[in-house]
Amino acid sequence: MKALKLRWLRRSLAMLSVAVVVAVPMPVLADAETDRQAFVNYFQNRFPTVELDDFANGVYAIDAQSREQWEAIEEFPPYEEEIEKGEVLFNTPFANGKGYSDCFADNGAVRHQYPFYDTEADEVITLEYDINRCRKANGEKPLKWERGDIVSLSAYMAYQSRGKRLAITIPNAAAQRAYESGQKFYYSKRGYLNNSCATCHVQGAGLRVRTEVLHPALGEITNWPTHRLKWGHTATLHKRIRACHRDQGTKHFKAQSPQYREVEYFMSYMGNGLPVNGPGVRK
Amino acid sequence: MSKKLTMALFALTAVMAPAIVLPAHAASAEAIKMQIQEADRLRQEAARLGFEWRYTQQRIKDAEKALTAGKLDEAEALVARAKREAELAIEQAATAETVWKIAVPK
Repeated sequence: MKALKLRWLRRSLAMLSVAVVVAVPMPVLADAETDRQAFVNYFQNRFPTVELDDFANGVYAIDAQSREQWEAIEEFPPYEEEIEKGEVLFNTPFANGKGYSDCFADNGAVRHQYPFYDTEADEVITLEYDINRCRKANGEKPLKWERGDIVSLSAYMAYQSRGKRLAITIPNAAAQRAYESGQKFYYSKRGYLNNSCATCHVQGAGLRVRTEVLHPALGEITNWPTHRLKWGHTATLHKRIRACHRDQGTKHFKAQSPQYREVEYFMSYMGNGLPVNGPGVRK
Repeated sequence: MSKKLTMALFALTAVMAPAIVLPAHAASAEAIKMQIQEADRLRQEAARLGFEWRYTQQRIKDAEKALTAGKLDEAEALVARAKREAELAIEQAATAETVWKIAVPK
């Protein structure tokens, strides 16, 4: 009798514990939209005189002196050649007769939808990554990631998309995990200088590093690919991330690695609603 | 000074001289080789976590070269630095795991 009671008690406790687990909500995944609103509020409070759309202009939104120089450069933009070359490449058919317009709708004016989460491939797809996917699917050799033809194509497609507002989506839980992974990467301090992306572009936005003003993280994604005056050429966002990463004393990842694609996904989601203005010019 | 004391001091100096003149190797080549293996194991762990530092692998390669060239002091110094960097990178990954969210605007 005693054993029976004990068994009943054990069974009841087990059922109770199951009920508790069911009743207590599972930890909710971070809400990306709440993150984005907090992110936007943070920068609007930090730079109250800057119009929201103007954050797409990076450091030029917050530094009047640099803006003046930038506006002068934009009169004869150094990336113009890339756009022209990109247009030719975009409209040149592959060996199989197909072309980029078979992969990219709207004559390539799709920059605002990138990166996206491919639910079938289960990975983040950036524009440059998709350009090479398109090439491979049509029997062409993939292009190098950081410079050359991929930059021209990306510049042309960004130009075609100018004015369209970033519309990054997070379609499922796997995409949410990729977003969170990118977010974690962005805020994690790395390297012997012990800095994160956020150290400079969230907490440090507007401060100076020697003579340079650090751009705000909000809108830092809209202008790529970008002609950097320091480089003397136009290149992709991943080249910039890699170089920045390396400068902080970290063994960097490769361009278009899952880590960099996920961090781009996070950065782009934060910029949702801002207009595409690439290709751009930055110091 | 007695003759015996002079002889004793002379003998002692003769014994100690190499230790004073030549730099002392704290570790043998074999021990340094093991330190290199350990440093590289830690570096790989830091890389797995995504936190490897920029020059750690190069320091390990340089330590191997110095060891091959018989420059034990140089090899030992390089591997000690590489190992410490890898340890700090692993520590940095653990710290980031717990504190990264603090920096997220709320």
